[in-house]
Order: sequence, then structure tokens, then C-alpha cells
Amino acid sequence: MQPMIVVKDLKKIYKTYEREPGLINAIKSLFHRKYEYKEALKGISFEVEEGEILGFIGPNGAGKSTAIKALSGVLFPTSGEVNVMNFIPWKDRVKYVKHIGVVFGQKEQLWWDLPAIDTFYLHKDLYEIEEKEFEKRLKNMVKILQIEDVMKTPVRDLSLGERMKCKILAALIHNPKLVFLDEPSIGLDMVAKERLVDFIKDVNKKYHTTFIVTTHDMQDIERLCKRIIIINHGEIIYEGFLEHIKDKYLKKKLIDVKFESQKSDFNLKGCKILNKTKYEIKIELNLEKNSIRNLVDYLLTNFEIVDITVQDPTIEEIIKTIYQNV
Amino acid sequence: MYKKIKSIIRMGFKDAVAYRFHFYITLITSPLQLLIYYFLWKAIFSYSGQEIINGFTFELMISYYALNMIIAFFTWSGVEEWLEFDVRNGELVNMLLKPFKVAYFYFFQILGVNSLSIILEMAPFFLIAVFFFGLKIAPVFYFLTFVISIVLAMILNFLISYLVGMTAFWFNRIGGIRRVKRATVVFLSGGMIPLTFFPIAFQKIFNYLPFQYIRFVPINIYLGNYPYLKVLIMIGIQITWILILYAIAEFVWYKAFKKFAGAGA
Repeated sequence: MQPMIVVKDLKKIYKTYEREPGLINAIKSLFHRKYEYKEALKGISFEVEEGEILGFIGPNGAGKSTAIKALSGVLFPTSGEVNVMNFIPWKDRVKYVKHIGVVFGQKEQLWWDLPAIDTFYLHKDLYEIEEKEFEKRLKNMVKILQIEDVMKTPVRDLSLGERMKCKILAALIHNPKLVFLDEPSIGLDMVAKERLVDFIKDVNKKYHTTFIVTTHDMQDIERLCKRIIIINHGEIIYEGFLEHIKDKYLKKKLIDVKFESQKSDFNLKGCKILNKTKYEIKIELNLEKNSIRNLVDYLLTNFEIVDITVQDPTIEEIIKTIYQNV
Repeated sequence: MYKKIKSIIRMGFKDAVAYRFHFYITLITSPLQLLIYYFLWKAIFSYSGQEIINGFTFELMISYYALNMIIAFFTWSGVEEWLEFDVRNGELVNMLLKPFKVAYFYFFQILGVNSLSIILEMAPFFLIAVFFFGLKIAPVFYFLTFVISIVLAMILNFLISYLVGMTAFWFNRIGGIRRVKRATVVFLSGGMIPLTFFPIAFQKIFNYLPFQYIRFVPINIYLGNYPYLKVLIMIGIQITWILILYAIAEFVWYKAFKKFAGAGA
């Protein structure tokens, strides 16, 4: 069976102009503008299966939002192919968007001067949801997202987090098969974030809904996604399971040693001392240059050991190094 | 489809209700505006000593302006401002995510705003014009065709507005273009002075432009200045213009959407 989303060599080039600061340069740019072409996406390809929760991550300006926009049909790419549920998103926009839900964390997607509930009812008609079904879903989602009290207040009077919850409800009320969440946890407190994660997992399980999530919060990613795509400078630099990322990029271990006394100064190939006190030493071991075994041997001969802990760096740290290396 | 349209109109209406104060203000200022025209033309008529100027008696002239304002309420279209805002801030993305054609969505939203305007501006002002400014109630045929022609005028004005608004895809800020457009439309539609005040050559040119069908023609229909057949022909021309502008708008939209980058996040 064909995957739900097939992306082939997707490219997007933006045309912008550059201007030096200052008034003189502003006047100059009246007559002559130096145009620049910015390659937001340099031809990315990937596939997504139905029912998956895919993490789409990358540093600022990596091209995540551009990719989400092209996939959700609101942007005309420069070249490349996208096939989602047999639609070409930007060509079949009106028909296609009926089957998807999109939350842009940075955008106001509700009627600013009206209570959120008005937008929910608009969506009921726009997406042709049956009255009974709508009431049932609304009741259920309002309870989980805890927005009984806020959905009748004009949106402009709500807090960032409250608006986010209402936006999520508005994007999911028609029970779409595919959901794009672009920075969905902005403005949410810890409890609300956890609830959101549970909610997404629940919807995913119950309706086999596919989610594509972009976020800078690695905790969200770890809790939600099995598979991730890391994108930087418009290119995919990692695609695969979150667990495998450790195998591929885990070149370091953190070792914490507590001891009573030492016979000589610590000095071993491939090790970096991160922190040292009289009875404790923190070491970063580079696995390409030396092994755990050698290190432990070395420690046992040279130190009167009390305790050793060996740790992997967190996913967040691994991804940080991936960002920095590219 | 009907349900979707109703729902969008309702949104526009509710949104306008949130700003109802604006309508109350115009309800006070518009009779004052008509009063200014009243004294202005009174002075002009007494100075010239003529009973009829360019085909208008004094009473007809005041009716002309009253109807002009009534049509202005109903044909209001903020779509060029909305488009400018949405394109510049990238909020157009929200429009694009709705399973509905963008132009239609804006149109029905504006229809919602204008429905509130019927209740809060048009109807009260019509009564004021009838009771205090001597506006006569038109015979049934002219009244009904007038209603049809202002609905068409509203669509026509919307399409012109929408076309101008789409320039925002290329220029981002279109405050200047908008002002030029507003002046052009008010002037060439007969919103400033009746078009019969222009030289014949100009009037001939106006016949080939869409603008007079927004104000001048509907007003003349109401005032009974056209024979029955001409009324129907005029409505036919209105419809033709709507079809022409709609085709152009579709074409420009296709280009504009390609251009749209979705500024911001």
C-alpha cells in the first residue's frame, strides 16, 4: 500500500531583498534593490505512513514551517512532488484541506473578536460535521483540554496557552485523518503540555490519526514520536527512529566517579575532564578514541573507587551536537 | 453548501456586532452629511435661478444624494484592507486552510457585515430620508429592480475591491493604491456628483467602464429615469461586468497564490 504522504525532491526558493542599515541605504533601495534568493528547502524527500506520529525538528530557519506549509497546501513550492492521500495539496487545496487539521503555534487561527465557540460552530458547518457527532466530540475535547470556562470569552481576552488549546480543538473537531502541529506547546504550562501529549496519543490510537509535529521541546518529541526527521539548512540530515539516533550519534558517554583517594593524576586518551573535586571526577569519554572497558580498568588501578555511574547524554544534547555539526 | 454560506455570513454579522458602535456613529453623522448637501445645492439652485440643472430638480438632487448614501452603506467592502492585512502578516494561511474558496469566504463575510448595516444604517437612514428629506418611495417595478441592482452593485464593488486588494501580493503595502481606488470609484460611479454633470464625451467613456453601475445607474433606476426596457438592459450590463471581473479575479488569484510565500512562521 502506498504511504499516506510521499514527498519527492521538494524545493522552495524565496525571493527577498537585502538592505544595509541606515537612511541612505533605505533611499538607495528605493531605486535599486539587491534581490536575494533563499533556498528554504533544497529538495527533500520522505514518506509518512498512516497512523504515525512523526517528529519534524530542526533549528530556527531550518525550513520546517515551509515544509509544513507546502504539505498543508497553503504554499506553492518551486519544484518537487507531494502526494498526500492522493491529493496534490496546493492544487487540490479546497478539497484537500477538508481532510487535514493544522495548528500554527504562531498564528491567530480563531476569530479575534469573537468567543472561540463561534469558530468551533463555523467549523461544524464548513467541515459538514453532523450535529450529534459534533456535540459529542466538542464535549469530550472541551473536557480533556479543560476549556469550559474560556471558550465563551472573546479570543482577544484569552492567554496564549488558552488560545492554543482552543486552536487545537478547532483544528481537530472535524476528526481529520492527518494533523500538522507547528509548535503546539508554545505558551502551555507543564500540566497542560502533558495533557496535550496524552490527548494526541489518545486521538492517534483511537482514530489512527497521523500527526506531524514540529517543536523545539525535546521532551514533547520523546514522549510523542517514534520516528523523527531532522532538517537543517533546507536538507534532511537525519531520518529514522528516535532510539536509533543514539546508535548513530552517540559517540560519548558521561562517567561520574566518586573515590576516597587517588594514586596518580587522571590522564587517559580520549577522556575529557569536565569537573573535578577532591573526591569526585566527571569524565566525558569519546568512544571513537577509547572504550569503557579501558577506562574502568584504568580507574580501578589508579583510584580507590566508591561509586561509578555511566550515563548517555540526553536526546536533547545529542540533537544539539547534530545541529552544531552541520 | 447553503449551510456553509449561512455560517460564514453569520460570522461576518457577529464580527460586525462586536463593532456595533461604529454603526451608531454613522447613523448620527450620515444625516448631517445629507444636510450639508441639502444646503449646498439649495445655494447652487438659488444662485443659478434655474429649476433644473443637468436634468435634476432640487428635490431630485437631494434624493440622489440620499440614495447615494444608502447604496454606499450596502455596497461597503473592506476586502482590500483585509487582504492587505492578511497577506502582509501571513494570516492568509488561515483562509487557505479552510475548505472554501478564499474570494467567496471574504464575500460572504462582508455580506454578513452588510446585513447588520441594513438593520443599523440603511433602514433607519431610508426612513430619515423619506420623512425629513422628501425621498419618494419608488413604484413597485423600480423599487424591486433597484433592490436587484444594488445587490449586483455590491458584488461589482466587491470584485473591484478584491482585485485591488490582490495587488498586496506584489506590493505588500497598498495604502496608496487603496486611496487612489477609493477616489476613482467614488468619482466615476457618480458618488460625488451625478455623472450628467460631466461633458458628453466623458459620459460616453463612463458607459464603457464598470464604475457607474455601482451608484449612478441604481440611483437612476430608483428615480425612474429609465424606461422599463433600459432598466433591464442596465441590469444585464451589471451582470456582464460581474462575469468579466470575476474571470479576471480568478486569473489574478491564481498568479497571486503562486506568489504567496506565507510570511511569518
